[in-house]
Amino acid sequence: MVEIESMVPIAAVVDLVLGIATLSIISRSQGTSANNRIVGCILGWILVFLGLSYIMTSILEFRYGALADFSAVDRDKVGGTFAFTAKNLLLSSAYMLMVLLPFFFPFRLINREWDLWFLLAGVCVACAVFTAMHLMTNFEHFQVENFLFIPGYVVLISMYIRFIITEARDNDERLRKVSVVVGLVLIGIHGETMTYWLSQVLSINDLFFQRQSIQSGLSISAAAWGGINTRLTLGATAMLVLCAGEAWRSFKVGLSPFGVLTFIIFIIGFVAGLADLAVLDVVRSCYETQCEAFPVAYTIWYDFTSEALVYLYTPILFMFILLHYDIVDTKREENRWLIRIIVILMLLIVSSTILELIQSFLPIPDMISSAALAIVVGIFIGWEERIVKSLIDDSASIQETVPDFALPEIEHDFASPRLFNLVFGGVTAFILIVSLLFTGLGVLG
Amino acid sequence: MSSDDTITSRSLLVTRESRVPTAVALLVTVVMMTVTMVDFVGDLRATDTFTSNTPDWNLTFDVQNYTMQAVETLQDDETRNLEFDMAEVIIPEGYSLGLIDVTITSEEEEGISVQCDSVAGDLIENGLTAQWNSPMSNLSGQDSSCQPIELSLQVYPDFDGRSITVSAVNEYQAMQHWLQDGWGQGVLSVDLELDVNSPLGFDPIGQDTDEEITVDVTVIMFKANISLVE
Repeated sequence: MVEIESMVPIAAVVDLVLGIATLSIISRSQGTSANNRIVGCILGWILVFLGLSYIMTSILEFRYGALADFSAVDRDKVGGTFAFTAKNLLLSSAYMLMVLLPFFFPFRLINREWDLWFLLAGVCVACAVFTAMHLMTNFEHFQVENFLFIPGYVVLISMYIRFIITEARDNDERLRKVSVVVGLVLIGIHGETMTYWLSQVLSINDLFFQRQSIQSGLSISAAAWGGINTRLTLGATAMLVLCAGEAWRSFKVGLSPFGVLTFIIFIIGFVAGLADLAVLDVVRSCYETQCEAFPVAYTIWYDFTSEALVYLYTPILFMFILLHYDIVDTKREENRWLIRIIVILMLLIVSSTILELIQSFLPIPDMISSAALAIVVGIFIGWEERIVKSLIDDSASIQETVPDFALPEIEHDFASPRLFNLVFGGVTAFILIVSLLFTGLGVLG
Repeated sequence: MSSDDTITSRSLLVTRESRVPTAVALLVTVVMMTVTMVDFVGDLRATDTFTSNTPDWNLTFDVQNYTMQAVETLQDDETRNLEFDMAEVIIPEGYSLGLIDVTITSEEEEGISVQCDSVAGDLIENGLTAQWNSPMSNLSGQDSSCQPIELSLQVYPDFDGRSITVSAVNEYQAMQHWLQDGWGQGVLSVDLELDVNSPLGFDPIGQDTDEEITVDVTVIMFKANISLVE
């Protein structure tokens, strides 16, 4: 057996590789529509911000040993360090892009000349405001930005229900592509909190945050806790809506792969809720007696579900959206080799990590796991063309699939990847410099 | 596009059929957010109090005694070892062994004079789990004035029978120190030594050659009670 290790470094590599590759492909795809360029850049930079944030988390984990339960960072140990400051600010920037993503994908809802400037300025202003606020308050109110997810949530939920109902009403299979991609974006943004849906319905998640506050110095601020609760509630209700929608659609139209994915996450959330109930004594121990460790089985369950969903499956999900919805130009021959490399690389990294995870609780000798990994590699190499083809050949953008629903596209010449890279690269540099400066000045901590 | 005539941003989000389910979904979200927020705020306050304050707790001790006695007659210049097995002590539910007091009493009743004999007593350090090096423990004593010798051994760490005030985040942590197991297990070993004294060293018929010594062992057991200092 091997020791359970964090998936954060793997997630950092996967997110960064995918993010940089996406931005690189977008930069080389001249013929792509302005909308796809914007969405590609948003997704690419979300992954880059997440990847950089995970690198900082890895530093906090391996240098300071500050990773507590549920991948939370022990603030008592690392509050005020460069890695802690940069991690939170980068995560905050990724949140800002996730907040604005539903207004550009799958449909560009605002569809005005100024919406692109709104996106860029919104992220920059929000980044500046939250950076100033967090630095001045020593991250007391970190996670308050979760409140900003509400408008995007309303958009996605409304769109999902609208298209699933219209599909069933008109028997128009094309519309399924819209409801699926909306569901995937919802999972991409709220995936982790979806796996806590039953705990949120039972309103026991607060006890877990109480434990984290006592154990690892999580901020005791109404704004922070309100933000956390908002995100948890949005995830839980998104899961319930998706599950109800897919159950209804399965009854009306038939079961689909996305329906299966939704039901799997629903069941995971259900089991996780029961598991959370079972460990409530341990959770409350920090408050009532003294902190007890979670049972190993509970930790393994968490690693395989919520953590794996965030760190391993979310990048794959974004990759699927990028390729299957033709956001990056998959038809161009010169992009294909890069796409092939990304697909195989990501599938292999995730497969090997899953194997390592299995080794953490099953006494499988290294030789057998190596052989299993070799089999996985063989399958992926053998089926590489088929996997990539199935992703790319069926790919079509939303505008191509349902042109009658697409709003008239506003073509921005200035909506170039260069502009996005310049702005968000500037945001990244700003965050790193500010973190370095404030840590060096001893303002934090 | 079926019945959707012109597409606007609004019509991408809601149609006549989807209006009710969407409103229900959003209503459920609002209700759940409100309910859970109330819970969160409640726990937020409790946690804030918990982490920002370390209250004082008053600890008092209910005490019960268990006594054992041994009466031994020692000859002049004799050293004798007595053992008291702590396993014989009946410890009430919830109580722990706190202190052991040993009183050694000699009775000068033989001989023609009332000259006191010299008696010495030692508690011998052995496997008995106790605070052998505590300043509260008095392991040796000697007397030649017919007064009892008082020896004591602190068994439970920091226990002296007096109430104390401690700072702790909760009742459990305040009590934790007083809920340890394993103290007071073993055998109490007492060495007695007698040196008979005659008046001016004169005992012509050799009558005063021994002494009856009584050893009283009092085992003090305690149970901690806790109350929050307001």
